[in-house]
Amino acid sequence: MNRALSLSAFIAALAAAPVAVAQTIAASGDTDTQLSAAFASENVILDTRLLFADGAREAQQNLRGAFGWPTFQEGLVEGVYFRFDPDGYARFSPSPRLDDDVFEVVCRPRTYSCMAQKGALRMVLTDQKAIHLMMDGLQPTDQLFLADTTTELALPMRILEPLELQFERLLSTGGDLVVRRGENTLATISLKGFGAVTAYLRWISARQDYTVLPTGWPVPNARTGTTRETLTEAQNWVNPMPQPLSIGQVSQGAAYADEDSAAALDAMQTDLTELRRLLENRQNEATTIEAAQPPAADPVQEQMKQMEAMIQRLQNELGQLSVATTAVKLAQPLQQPAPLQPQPQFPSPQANAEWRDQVQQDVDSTPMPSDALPDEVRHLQYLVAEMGLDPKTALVLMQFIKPEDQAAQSDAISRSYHDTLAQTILEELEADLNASAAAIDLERALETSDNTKKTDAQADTQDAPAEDMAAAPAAVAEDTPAEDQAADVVAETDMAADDPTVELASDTQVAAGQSDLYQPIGAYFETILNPTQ
Amino acid sequence: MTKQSSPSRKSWVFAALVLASSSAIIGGTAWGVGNAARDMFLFREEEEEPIVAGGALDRIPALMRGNQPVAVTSVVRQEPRRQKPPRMCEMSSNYFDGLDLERGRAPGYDRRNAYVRNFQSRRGFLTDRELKAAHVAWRYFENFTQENTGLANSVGNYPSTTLWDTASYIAGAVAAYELCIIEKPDFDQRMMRLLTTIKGLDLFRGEMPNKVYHTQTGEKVDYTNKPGEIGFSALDIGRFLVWMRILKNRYPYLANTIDSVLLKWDYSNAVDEEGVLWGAFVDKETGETVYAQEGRLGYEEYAAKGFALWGFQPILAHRAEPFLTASIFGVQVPYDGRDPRVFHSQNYVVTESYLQDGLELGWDMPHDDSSPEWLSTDGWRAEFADRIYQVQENRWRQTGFMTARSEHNVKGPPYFTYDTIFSDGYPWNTVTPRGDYVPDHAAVAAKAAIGMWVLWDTEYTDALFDAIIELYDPENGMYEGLYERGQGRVEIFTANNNGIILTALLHKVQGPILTPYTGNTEVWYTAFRDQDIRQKRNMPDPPTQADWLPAIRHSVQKEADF
Repeated sequence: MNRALSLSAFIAALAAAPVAVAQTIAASGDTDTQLSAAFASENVILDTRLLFADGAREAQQNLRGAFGWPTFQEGLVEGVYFRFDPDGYARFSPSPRLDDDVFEVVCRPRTYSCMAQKGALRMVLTDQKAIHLMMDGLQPTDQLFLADTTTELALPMRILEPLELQFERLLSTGGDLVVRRGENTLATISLKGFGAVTAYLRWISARQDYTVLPTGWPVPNARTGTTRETLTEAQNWVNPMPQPLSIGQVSQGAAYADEDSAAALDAMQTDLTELRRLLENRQNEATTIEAAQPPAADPVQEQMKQMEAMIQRLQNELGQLSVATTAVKLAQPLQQPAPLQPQPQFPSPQANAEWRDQVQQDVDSTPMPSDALPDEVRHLQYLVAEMGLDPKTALVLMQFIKPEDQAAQSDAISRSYHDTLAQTILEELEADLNASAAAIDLERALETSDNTKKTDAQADTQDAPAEDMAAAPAAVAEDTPAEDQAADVVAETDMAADDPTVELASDTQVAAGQSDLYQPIGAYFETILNPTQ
Repeated sequence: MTKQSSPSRKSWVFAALVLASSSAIIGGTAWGVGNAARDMFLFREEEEEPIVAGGALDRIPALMRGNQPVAVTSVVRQEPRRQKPPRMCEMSSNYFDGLDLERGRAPGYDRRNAYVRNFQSRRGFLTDRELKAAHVAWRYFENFTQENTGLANSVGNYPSTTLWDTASYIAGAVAAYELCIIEKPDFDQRMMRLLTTIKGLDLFRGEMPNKVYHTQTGEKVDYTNKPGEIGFSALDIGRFLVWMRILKNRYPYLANTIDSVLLKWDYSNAVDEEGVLWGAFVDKETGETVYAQEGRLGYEEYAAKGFALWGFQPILAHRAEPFLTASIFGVQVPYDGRDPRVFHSQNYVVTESYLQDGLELGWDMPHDDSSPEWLSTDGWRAEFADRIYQVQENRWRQTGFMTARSEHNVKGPPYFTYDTIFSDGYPWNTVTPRGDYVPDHAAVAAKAAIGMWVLWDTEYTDALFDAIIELYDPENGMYEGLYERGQGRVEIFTANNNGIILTALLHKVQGPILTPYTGNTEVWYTAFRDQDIRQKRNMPDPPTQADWLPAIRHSVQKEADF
């Protein structure tokens, strides 16, 4: 924890550097330098003609003097009003005057590095595009809570590290972030506008690319609209009674998980494909090798250990995906209370198309006969490949298809498509290993597999502990062995498991199907949604 | 068988003869009377109003119109023209004893819609404190005027300026000369260098001066001070025209230079036939020039009077309508009625434009060169200015906040704020140019405080004066103001602030800054008469009485409205 805090302080100092520089400039009284720096054309990082959200507009600034930005953009999105300048400076507030409860975004001159701030809370985007929250003056014994009008939810100090997706979704639902030291409340920071600001930070970082905006974001000219033709569709009904379930509802919850989950899915598919290829090669060559060389007991056992370690890592990855899926489903009720009018919301068309192509490619490259798969897997494959749904949406949809079978539903949550797939390959692998006595080619193949894994492990640093993030990007650039990084993940998981405040902590634990870990937060959401219970 | 004549036949012949003779008599009489009447009337008309060269019936050809005398009140009404006051160091010690400063009638409108204010201005010699402040304010222009162009920076060292701020520099120079801070050689050198630079400025697309220029190079630049062009501002040009007229009337030896500067510009898109002022900007998509109405209540009328001083007829821009009022501390504060949501232009109510009208023009009509100082012939402007003052005093009395609000620069982001009395539907609204509410930047603006102190001789402005008059850096000028929420001084130095402060101090000594034109024909009106340039550039003829802007009155608030 101390390391995390010191890291936060370091990053805070880093982020505050331009502010300090600006203050130094100001203190020097050099108006020329100050104004030149403030309104230099090199500072223009945003085109205010490109609308951040549907309904926004570019406007002229009422400039009377000799300097300033001639235009700005203003609008309303996710319940907060916003204005931003070409240099990225922005304000988000639930008040149209942008005077109360303001998230202020300041960008470092001539860069796309921006920092948002509201009160003591600051946040920046890491190199891995994760949100990193920072608060000054916190002590290890301080406690964080997410509070609404009636209840509070304890948050781990890990939220001050690069935010995991589930935490980001949780904080985006609103409420207040409360900081307590013992009995005293040190700060209460409203999280109104948190989601819009995080989207804005990513949008800046991506050079105003709409594909980085979350699913359901009102992208200009992409509104699906409630036209006359769709007025009678179930998801457009305005009725306080429970609504018919729709794909839009489900997919909205999976918004932020899409990118990273897709990346992890890609990595996993690559590993599985490689493993399958190795197994096939080995089966073909096993006889020859067996005849040529007597079985060497020690090397084989060592390689089996390596294979098991690799399988363990794969299970960890599957666990992460399961966490994302489950957290998204859990976070969804906060964002969409029951009587809301559902809107069909999908990922941006471009991102969705790219993602579908990738998934289709992966599916095609996986030689698995459809009749050999369980029904759930085949259904999933159909929904993903044929219907074009993202896997989480498809998964949740499948769960809703059989609501009467509660036992099967809970089983489906714990045994995802990836679990099934990995389990199938695992069984084949173990059977092959037991039957095999030769390992010369396998050893060479494993080396190849490790190299592939290194790349994946580097990508995993997005979910790695803050200590690893602190050294980013330098540490990430280093050629750290994948096993070491995986070990860090496991170590961090163990540490978090010991922390009683960590209720959404361990990826590994969730991957192992311990859904009980989610019981407190699940109960919390139930309380919010059903106050009469 | 015998032939006999019929009696009926004789009767018909007789009747025909009678009819013929009667018709002849009536027709002849009518013809004779008609001719006589026509001759009589025509004869009388020609006798009473012969067409005299240069007279009202003389349709003067364009080539000769420049020679017409400008119709001003001293000429039309045969009233004695005001006199240019002497420099402060040339005034006798009893100079102010002989001035007509006392109000000649009760406050209110007169039959010509001129207005006698409820307040009086301060007049007299500068005290040591005031003179010290004047010297310090002039230090700004000594420090931040560029040697090679003669242009002064708008803000400290930042080498850019607008015509608005250049007018402030001219104001500072005139005040410095009249207050005997500088002498004529210095003044002449500065003004001549400045005017020749302005004449050589590259105009925005060959029309009017660009909104911003680099003060070191004289290049037209954009808002980032990089070479480029933005458009032109009718408000900035209007203020600049006010000070060109002041400079020309006070110092006739600069008249030809000033005229040559203004004759270079093309006014065809700046003022239209309805008398609306238009600014211009560049469309980002197409790169084409876009003309847009510019100005809101307060600034718009001030700029309109600047154009009118040069013969233009900005009739609509000079009118207050459409305006609404907001009741603030019992005062009906007027604000522009054009909806910002429709017109995308904010309606800021600040002190500055009312101050400048009072200090520089005495709230008089552009054609007025003869009314006494206590009478404001642009009546509603003076009456509205009194409301703007009163609401700020009322705020001080009811909340304790010293209030003198204007637009002003701030150090650091957002660098500029409209510190308004009313805008966007809110009183005491401090907003950035893009509309963010930034109450922490609310301040007592130094220029507004000193200006109000001069034009409203009250206990409240005494308090303002004490708060501001020593708010300076001896080396750099007067600070921009004093933060309302206790953050101290607004530590930035600007041409506008120091120029207006110098103008206010000069007003105390000399009264309204604009003095009558003492010459006869002006090159401004006679040039290009043998070409079609004047028509193409929409250059005016010397105004006649029929061209005068109308003097309007609006309802006067009789009692507090809570």
